[in-house]
Amino acid sequence: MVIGFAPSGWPTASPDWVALVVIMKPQTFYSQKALVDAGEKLAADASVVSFDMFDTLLVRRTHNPDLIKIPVARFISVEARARGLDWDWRQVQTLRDSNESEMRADTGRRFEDQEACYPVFMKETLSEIFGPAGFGNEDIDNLLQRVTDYEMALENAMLVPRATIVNWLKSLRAAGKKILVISDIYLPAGNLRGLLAHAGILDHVETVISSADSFLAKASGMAYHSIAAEFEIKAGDWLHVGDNPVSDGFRPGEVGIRSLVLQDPEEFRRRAIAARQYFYSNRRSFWKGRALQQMMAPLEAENLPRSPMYVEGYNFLGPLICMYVHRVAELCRERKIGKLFFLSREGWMFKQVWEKITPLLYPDRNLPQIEYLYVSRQALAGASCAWEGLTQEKADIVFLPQGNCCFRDVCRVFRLDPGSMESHLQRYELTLDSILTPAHLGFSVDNRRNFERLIRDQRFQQEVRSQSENASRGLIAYLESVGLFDYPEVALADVGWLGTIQRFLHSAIKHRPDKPVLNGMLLGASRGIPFPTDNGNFIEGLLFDRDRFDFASSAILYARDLFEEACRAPYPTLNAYVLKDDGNFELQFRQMDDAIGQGEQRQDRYYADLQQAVLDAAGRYAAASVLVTEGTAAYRPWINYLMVSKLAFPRRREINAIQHIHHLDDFHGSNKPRRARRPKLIHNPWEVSGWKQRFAMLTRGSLFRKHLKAMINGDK
Amino acid sequence: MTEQAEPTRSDSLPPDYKPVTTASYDLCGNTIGRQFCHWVRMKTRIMGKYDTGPGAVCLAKLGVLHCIGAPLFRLRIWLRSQYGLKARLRALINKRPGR
Repeated sequence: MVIGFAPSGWPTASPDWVALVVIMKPQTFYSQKALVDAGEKLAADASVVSFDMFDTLLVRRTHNPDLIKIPVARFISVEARARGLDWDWRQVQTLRDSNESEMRADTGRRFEDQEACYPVFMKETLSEIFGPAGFGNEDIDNLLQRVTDYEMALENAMLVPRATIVNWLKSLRAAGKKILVISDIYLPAGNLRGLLAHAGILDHVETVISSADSFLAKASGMAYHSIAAEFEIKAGDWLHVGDNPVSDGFRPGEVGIRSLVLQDPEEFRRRAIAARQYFYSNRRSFWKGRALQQMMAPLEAENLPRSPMYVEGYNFLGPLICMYVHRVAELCRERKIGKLFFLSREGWMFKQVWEKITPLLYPDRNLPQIEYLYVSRQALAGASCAWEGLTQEKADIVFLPQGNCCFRDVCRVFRLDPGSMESHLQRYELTLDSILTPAHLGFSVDNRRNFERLIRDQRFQQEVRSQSENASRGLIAYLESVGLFDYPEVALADVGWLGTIQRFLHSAIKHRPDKPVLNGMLLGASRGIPFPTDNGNFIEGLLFDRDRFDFASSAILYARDLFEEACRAPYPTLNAYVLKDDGNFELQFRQMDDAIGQGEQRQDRYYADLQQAVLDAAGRYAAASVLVTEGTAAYRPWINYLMVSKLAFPRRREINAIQHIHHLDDFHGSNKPRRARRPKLIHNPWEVSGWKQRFAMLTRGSLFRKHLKAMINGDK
Repeated sequence: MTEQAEPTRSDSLPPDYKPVTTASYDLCGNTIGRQFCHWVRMKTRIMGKYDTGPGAVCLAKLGVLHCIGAPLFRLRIWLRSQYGLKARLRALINKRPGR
């Protein structure tokens, strides 16, 4: 405690009167726990405890609170351009800054502090921008509300309560203390209450006071006088807690209020790391993705110990899937696509991620309608033969999985009746069990030639068409019900890899004059067989595309099943579109009571933690992404790094943490191909276990070189 | 809404449970050390396209912050508390320091 002079200008003192007052020296603490321990003793004598809001009760994930202004400026710029006003976001930001500065200068002439009030200077900014477009006062008010909601949503996403201090606040409230939250900021108390409510603190706070309402701030100490007068608080009964040595330390001390100041070196360190990552990301795009993940990272009480699977889901799969969905949204906006279909079953995850990230990424809501589309290769394969029959290309797709080898497998995949096909096969010296692929014992070139002749046989094709007709009508009825034919151009989001589902879907609808252009947006396009890109049917791999020469992202081919299982919906696959007697359709799902079904259910339970982690990451992705950069192009180096580092050069415990335990391939048959002549020396660590996996960890470099050679030669 | 539980490790949790963010504010399972190893690989063999890459200086500075940042920031705050008297007096005398 020291004796000092109270400068003139206090409400209680006349301008010419200078008083001697008791100045309480603030106590500084270097950890939350030390502050709370000391605060508990001091609070025993206090009836009122006030807290600073930012960096004391709540911390921001970002190092610089002003970063939040950038996406808000982008939003205003998009709204202006939609009305034919040419405003770049930088111009919007400059105007906002200048209006805020003017307001601060103006209040500085009337008050001790140079404070600003968000609704006032923001309304002025919007009026200047949208006035030429004929916006009236009511239009400006509506737009201001939308802009404020967006800024508050970003603030909410970026703010994290400091668990130790918030818990102390709650205990003080429970002990009957009067709790005030005081902040020097341009946001009025109403907005601050919204932020505190989102953080779960508002119910424990009696009053929230902002300098934006009274223009009396803590920085000059005027706020303490005004609050003391308004709430009739004696200085001796008041304890203040904050982080600024002047505003929260000396200024209350001047009035005789005891104050505790938190100077947390760990918080400074965290912000310094985030600041450097952000700073580096402006020069090197490699750091864009890393800065994004730093701003997505859970803090304080959010950062609880989690299973290794959750950690990998949050730090590895989550960002990748979010970047993919973000890119889908970007492309849909660029191409002005009317409707986006998420294809089952991986689309289940993509749709949830979409719903979590797009409100903050695109506040103008200029996005396509979305729909979850129940499809599967098994269900579409049969329906796709009703018009063009069984083409050679489609038949060859059946033999891509090595478990399929004969015409019986073709019948299973395309849901053809094997009994009715025997007479057609006999005409070409084939049986249902004739081996048609060289990977199996018993293969002969004659079988293959005869099979190709069979495909060209019109009587055989007529039989195929007649057997597929009902499935096709069921499919068309379903597609009409979901509005596929209502738009000239639609997008299809799927995990990958050959685009077989889209190929079959296009084949099933291409006879219709109102068929839409199909824009396939795959997570990864491996393009094992050429995709027919004519007649309004396109696919594109967004994280990896075989048609783009990209070594690093090709590492996704190491563990395709991992992505499929991580995104797969926890319900069975679709078997068929059943046409009912009334011409309507019914979706027939696979039975889950057999061994494969039980295995899928076991896998669903096993990956619940991983899928939750992806969704949790999605919840924090959007706000972080709009702060780091606009769009997804800058994330490419980081995506490549994640792919290679985690898939091509993984650690064994990481593979074991996220490796799936069951995977259903609805095309895959039960036949076993013949053994290779020599055993493999180099294994993909994602495909083996035990000692083979240990050995594979030693040969990761060789495997990656081999993988790259295969990519160059087109062997994969 | 954010949980308010204290971030403590429960005895009932398995030993391999870890927070998503490490104590040094790094990503669990994707630390600065791993990025450094990858940078060495990028420099010595074909690893794909990473634009400019992370850069040695950026990696080194972030490595220092992640690995030994805690004592450095404690030292910084201690120095400020010991020698920041002048700034505090100036703030006390000047009534309008701005925001």
